[in-house]
Amino acid sequence: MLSTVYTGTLHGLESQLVSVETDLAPGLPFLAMVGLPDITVREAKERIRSAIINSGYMFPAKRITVNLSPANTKKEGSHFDLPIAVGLLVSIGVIKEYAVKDYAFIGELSLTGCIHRVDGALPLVIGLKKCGIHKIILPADNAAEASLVKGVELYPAENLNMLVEHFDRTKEIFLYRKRNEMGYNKKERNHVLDYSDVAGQEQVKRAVMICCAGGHGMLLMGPPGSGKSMIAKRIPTVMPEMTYEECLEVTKIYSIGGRLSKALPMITDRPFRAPHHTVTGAALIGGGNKPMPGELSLAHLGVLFLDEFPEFNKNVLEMLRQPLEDSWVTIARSGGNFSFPCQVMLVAASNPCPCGYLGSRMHPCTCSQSQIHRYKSKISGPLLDRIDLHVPVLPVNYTDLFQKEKASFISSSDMRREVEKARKRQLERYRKHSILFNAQLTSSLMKQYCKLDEKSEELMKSAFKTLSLSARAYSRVIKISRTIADLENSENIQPVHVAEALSYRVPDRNTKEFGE
Amino acid sequence: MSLGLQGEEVAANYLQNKGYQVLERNFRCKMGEIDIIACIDRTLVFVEVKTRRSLNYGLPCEAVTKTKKLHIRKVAAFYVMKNKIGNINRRIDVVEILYQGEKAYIRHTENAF
Repeated sequence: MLSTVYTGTLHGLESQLVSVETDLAPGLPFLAMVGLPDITVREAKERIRSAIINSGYMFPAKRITVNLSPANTKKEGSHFDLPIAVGLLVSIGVIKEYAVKDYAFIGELSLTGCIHRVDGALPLVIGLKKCGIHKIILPADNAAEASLVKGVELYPAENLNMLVEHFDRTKEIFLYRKRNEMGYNKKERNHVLDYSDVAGQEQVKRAVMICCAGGHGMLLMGPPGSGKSMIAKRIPTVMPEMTYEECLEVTKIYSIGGRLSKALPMITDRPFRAPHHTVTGAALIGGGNKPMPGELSLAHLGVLFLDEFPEFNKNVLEMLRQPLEDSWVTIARSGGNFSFPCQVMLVAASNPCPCGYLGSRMHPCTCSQSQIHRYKSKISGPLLDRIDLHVPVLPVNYTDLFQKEKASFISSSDMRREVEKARKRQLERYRKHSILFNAQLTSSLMKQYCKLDEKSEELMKSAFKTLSLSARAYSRVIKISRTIADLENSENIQPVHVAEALSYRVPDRNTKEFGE
Repeated sequence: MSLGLQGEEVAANYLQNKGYQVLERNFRCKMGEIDIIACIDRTLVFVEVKTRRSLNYGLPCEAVTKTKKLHIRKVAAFYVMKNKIGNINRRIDVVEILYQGEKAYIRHTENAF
């Protein structure tokens, strides 16, 4: 008998409806699977056979043909086990066909008939919903993750027997309901890290606030032990909470990368990714035979922290150029293009030279000119140009470190309040446009929203010449000024905002005059 | 008489009762062996017989493996060539025989592969 059940297949972040057709014909026992299954799907055959027998049903000794339609797209992933098994059970009459026609199935089978969690459940459920399927049977361990999607009925199943009873109507599976309706972000943020731990460095904290408020990238440069990593690690504590849409988007990427588990079913905190400097291109940008999101995409809507910036492989860093500009990584394969979003805040940290003390008055630099030159040349101009704020980090002085009270330093919650205020202003301003913060401004929107007065214009004109700014750097300075104006609660950009923004673009300022 | 031979005997009788004309039994060449070669309605039928006493190791027909199928195909082609058989339909059947005590169950799968 012929049967049809539904499931989905993933292509990057997109998913497509797949119908699994199962036909039983007389002949020698054989199971043929067609429709471009990959190796995991082909292996499903053995799991399904054992799972069906061990759940107490007969495996049909007939010529079985399973067709995964549409037949021209590759089918990957272990979630095909369950739909194929259900297709077989419908074909042999254990489950009635009319009972399953509104459902879609995803899940991996174990030999005992238990249904195990799969990767990519969230994008699959989103895709199935788009195709008009609203009842989905999925592994119990994936239910919390998939429950981020609104408007679908999720039936978490633990094993094949439970499923058969559900369709028999002898014992129905309860619809999955979130324990807490707003569970995705209602829990109070409780960060272990806080900016009040960082002694002094108020000017760097100010820069962090600007970055978080406008979504700009930053380069921290300073001698060893000045607190660059400490500052960077605390950036997520200042960023505004993720909205529902943002949670959905980030969780989708983690779902495909197989980084969710029962303990961590969804991502509700802004990601902070700090890959080691030995990272390869494929791990940073994304790649692999079956393209997977890399660190850059895993940091989507959060922070990508590259500590020891010049130690990274030069080629790997250069790969960042285009994705940073477009906020999308596109990986081209013969089988099609795979795109992953990467709207990240890039935070890089670096020493000014190999020994770390170039320009310090306290400590002599022991590097030769050629060493310094080689170190600096590791980061190319085009890449530096794309980093909005260049922030010198000075060594901490004794009074700040030991004599001041912890409470006298600005804390994360104070900073976040400012940042959220500035973000709110931006959201209101860009309500009619599809952008959220200043870093996303296009040139036409900039003309509309970043008008400079006469004095500011004058200042920019002279800075453009003396600092030899590029056209891109010019527009970036204006975006930063816009963010500073937002932080200062000012409607228009004023000369003082432009001046502060320019101070973050002064090349090599730190190498000349840091240190007390 | 061994179980296999016993089974082939039963299969041959069964086929004859069904109207098949048995042409060869245990046709051998260096590529392998075909248990029964029979003929019905201008169709040449090559038959593989599988006999079992229990289902502990699966159905008899499940023992017809990929290599076994390949061997049968080759021997069949050789038989056709040797006897210069021209325009006649051919097919390969499997006859399964399952002994349960004194009873024997027979299942005949036509055009099995």
